[in-house]
Amino acid sequence: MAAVTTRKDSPPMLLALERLTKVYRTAEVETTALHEVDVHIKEGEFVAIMGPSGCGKSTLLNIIGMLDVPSTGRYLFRGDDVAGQSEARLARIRKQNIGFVFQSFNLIDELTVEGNVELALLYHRISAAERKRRVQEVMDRMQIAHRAGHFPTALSGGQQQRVAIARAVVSSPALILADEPTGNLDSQHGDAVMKLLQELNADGTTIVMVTHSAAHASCARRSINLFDGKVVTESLRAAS
Amino acid sequence: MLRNYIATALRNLVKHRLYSAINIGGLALGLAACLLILLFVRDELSYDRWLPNADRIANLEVTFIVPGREPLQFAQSPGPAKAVLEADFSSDVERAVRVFQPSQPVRVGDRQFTEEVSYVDPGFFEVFDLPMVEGEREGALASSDTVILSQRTAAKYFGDQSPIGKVITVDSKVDLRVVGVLRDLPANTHLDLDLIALFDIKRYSDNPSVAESWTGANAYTYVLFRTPEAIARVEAELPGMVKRNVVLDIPGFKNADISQILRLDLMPVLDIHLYAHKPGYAKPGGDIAAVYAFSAIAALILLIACINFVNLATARSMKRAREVAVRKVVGATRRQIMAQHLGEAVLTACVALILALALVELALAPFNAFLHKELTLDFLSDPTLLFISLGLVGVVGVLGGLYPAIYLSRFRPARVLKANQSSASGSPRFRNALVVFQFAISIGLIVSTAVVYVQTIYARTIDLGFDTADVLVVDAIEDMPDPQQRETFKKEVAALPGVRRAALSSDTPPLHDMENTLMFRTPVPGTERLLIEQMSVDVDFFHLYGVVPLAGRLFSRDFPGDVRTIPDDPAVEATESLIVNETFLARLGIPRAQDAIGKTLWDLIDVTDKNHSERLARATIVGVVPDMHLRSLRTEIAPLLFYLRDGSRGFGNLSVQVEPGRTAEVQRGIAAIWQRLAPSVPIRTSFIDQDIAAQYDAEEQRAQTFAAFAVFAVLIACLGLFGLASFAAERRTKEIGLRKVLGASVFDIVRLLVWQFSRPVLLANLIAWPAAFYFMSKWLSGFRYAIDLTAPLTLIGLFGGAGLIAVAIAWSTVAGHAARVARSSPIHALRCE
Repeated sequence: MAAVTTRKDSPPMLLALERLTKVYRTAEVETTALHEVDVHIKEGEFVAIMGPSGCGKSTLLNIIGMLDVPSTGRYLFRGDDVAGQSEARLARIRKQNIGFVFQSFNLIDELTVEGNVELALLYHRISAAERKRRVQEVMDRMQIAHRAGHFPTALSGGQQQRVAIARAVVSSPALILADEPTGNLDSQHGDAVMKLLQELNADGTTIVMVTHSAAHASCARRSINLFDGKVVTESLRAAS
Repeated sequence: MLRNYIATALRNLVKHRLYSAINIGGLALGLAACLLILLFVRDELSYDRWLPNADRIANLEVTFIVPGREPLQFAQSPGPAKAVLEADFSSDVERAVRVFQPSQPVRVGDRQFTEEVSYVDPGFFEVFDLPMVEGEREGALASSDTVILSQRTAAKYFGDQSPIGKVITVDSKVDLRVVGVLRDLPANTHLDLDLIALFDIKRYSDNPSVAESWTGANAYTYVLFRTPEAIARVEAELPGMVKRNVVLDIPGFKNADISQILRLDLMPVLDIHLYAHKPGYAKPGGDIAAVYAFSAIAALILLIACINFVNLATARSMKRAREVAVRKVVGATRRQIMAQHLGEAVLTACVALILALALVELALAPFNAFLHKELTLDFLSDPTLLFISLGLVGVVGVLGGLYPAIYLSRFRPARVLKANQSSASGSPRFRNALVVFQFAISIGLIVSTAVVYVQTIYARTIDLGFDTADVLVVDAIEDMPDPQQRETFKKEVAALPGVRRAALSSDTPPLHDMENTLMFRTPVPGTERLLIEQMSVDVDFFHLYGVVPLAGRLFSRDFPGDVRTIPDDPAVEATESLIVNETFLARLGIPRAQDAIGKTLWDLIDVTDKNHSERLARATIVGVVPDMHLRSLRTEIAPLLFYLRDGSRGFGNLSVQVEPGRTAEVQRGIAAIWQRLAPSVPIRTSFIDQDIAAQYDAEEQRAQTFAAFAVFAVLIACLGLFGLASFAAERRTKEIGLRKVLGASVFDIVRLLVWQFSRPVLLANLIAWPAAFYFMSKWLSGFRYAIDLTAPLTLIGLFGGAGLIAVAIAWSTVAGHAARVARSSPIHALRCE
């Protein structure tokens, strides 16, 4: 693929994966999860990653989210190569730039809704009053403020996912990575979550979402299809 | 952030109650045991530290080295040493004082007491700067008819009245006027001072060994040095001082190198309680080995509790994995995750400490009663204790929390969060290794406790070589003012209904004093000197104690020559009969008891008697008796000879053999006779079997303390095992369900789980046995007569027994869980996963 070029009037590149390969090795088996993948995502994009089970979608998302490291290849995040960075440095980049939404919500059962949302700000240098303000604001926006004192186990799946999204956006990240965010939800709640993600994207947040659902993928401007660890097609959708 | 951490920690504690209870309970037990031991150890180490100038005071001890027998050691020292020390080392020695401390009858009005009276040299209060509550302390030692009482003694004698000016009668003949009251000494001192009066050596002119002889050791000599360093300097010079100043006016010793025979040592007062081992100190001392042993036990118990913490935390790490992963996803660094989990461990330890303090408070009263101590847990008056407690919490928190913190913080969030999967729950091999270690400690402690117990029982039940049943001893009959009364007393007691026999002797087992005589093989004293321990008995003594001679005969009235006869004419030979023990025969080189009968030795008699100095008596062996354990089993049986005495001089105790069941009646009879014959002297009686058993009180007390802490250790280890078992049962629910679907019975499943936890315990035995064998062999080597650890029955009984106990405890701990899981429906089990 040609080198990444940016036209003056187009948004700047947020991240670029170049010839990126991820191999998992155990004592007996070597599995190639991603093979020389090239992906470029600009600021403000909404990208859906699709493909059958085991094609490497989640691996790709984890590497983009710096939760995993590539075996070979380059990963440029805002122009910096982060492929070989230390765990502490990756943690810093992650907390400043990336929010996560998972299929299984991954809320901490021991913390209240408010505590879970606040968690994403705890590791930033933000005063308690400012944290409180931002948590309240995002809870209002996600319509979960009335459940602030409840524990996750007392909420419906849709509410739990809204808490998870609130946690992902409270630190105002440039990028939200969503791993099958509607996978555990019924269609009504699933649609609501997609609406939220579209609103966030409309506000300028870049969103990369892994999904099985063609309907939900259609919310994205671009789809990347993976098969056996390789990008097989990329399709652009006209802005709605 | 802290609030978030604390909220997570507390909710985790509450949510997983069982694990929290095990962790906190185990840590609390461990901390409580640790604190109790710490209080004990601190008290043991605090002895005499409060004493002004303690680092400059030392006690002079003496050892008499005589070829062919164990050295004779005494906490007291020869009387002349004081003056010589002051004169020879005036630049280093500020002051030396003697303290002569006989046990004497004290009469106050019409009441009688037996007390240790401390007769001290002037200058005593320069060495021991002890505070008074009333009166003048210096003035008290200016004359020989005044006395200072301790607060405790003053209250005992005079209640609330001021004792000043009151008169007490000591030793039935000396009136002393009370001129001062000494503040009671704290419990942590080796000193025992209740009555202090001037050491007036004129009173002992008829018994020069008290204050004037280099061969006697009756008074303590305390030396105040100018600097602490001077103690070692002067001690190095003591052999030279002995050489320069000591002349032994005893045949056979005149040309000997005296420093090879008489050795003086300085025991710093700060070391007396824990390190002094020479007999004669006023109070039973501590034992530095026990301090080390108990400190080690405290550390081991705490380690076991920490291992529980590590094991449960890593085993259950899967439960925390998601939380760690989410925190990492939102930007927490590894260091922050570690800090959080270390903080949780410290928080858990803090909760445990609160519980432990309550436990210590509850246990302190019985612990004190048991150890005869006055230990307190008071943070206000002793802030160091608070720091130590908090320090313990820190150590436990870090020790227990570090590995789980490192382990948890290593989780890769991508793996953990994928489809909500948990990460591996730590290495089971590592946990098993820790369980092996815990149980190795527990089994080691069980074996050690068992060995100490068996040795104590052995010491109490060993054939001592004489009968002790139903024998009552009337102690200190030499306190009877009139010597003639002792014989009368014996006759009247022997005639009491219920009394089988009565016998007089210089001492009774367990022997307290040690009297020796010097023997020679020839009438002309040569270089071979036999310094032999002696006892004086009457004709009934051996019969009363059921001693049968191996050869020859016992003393008898039919042989008047058995009693020593000393003709007035020095030219005529003095004679006496001897009964000797087997060890004495060995010393003489006579293999068969029969061959010793009729043998003659030459006995140096009355060396202190100016008229008959250096007179030798022809001593004929008329009987050989078996060796008897007259002292503690810690001491070796020494060569011993018995003299027959007639009359009552030289007798200190009366042994009374009572018909079974008539003890109380006989005791009343004896008391009535004593009251009539010696109304001014309090009577002291005891049972000989109890006196002998009392020698092992310290060992037994130690064994019981050991046992208590061993139980602690096992309990805490079992708590951990219980937690791991419930974890394993929970974790293997699906596997067990599948096994049941495939046809496994409840018994099969229980066996599977029980075996899983038996293996580490069985393995622990292999580590514990050699270690316990090594340490207990060392401990037993302190006894001259001890159980044989290498005997197959002992080995199997003690070591195998301890192993079985540990396995049985482990089984009963995990079997409940195993049975519950095994009985549950497989459908439920499979749905669980």
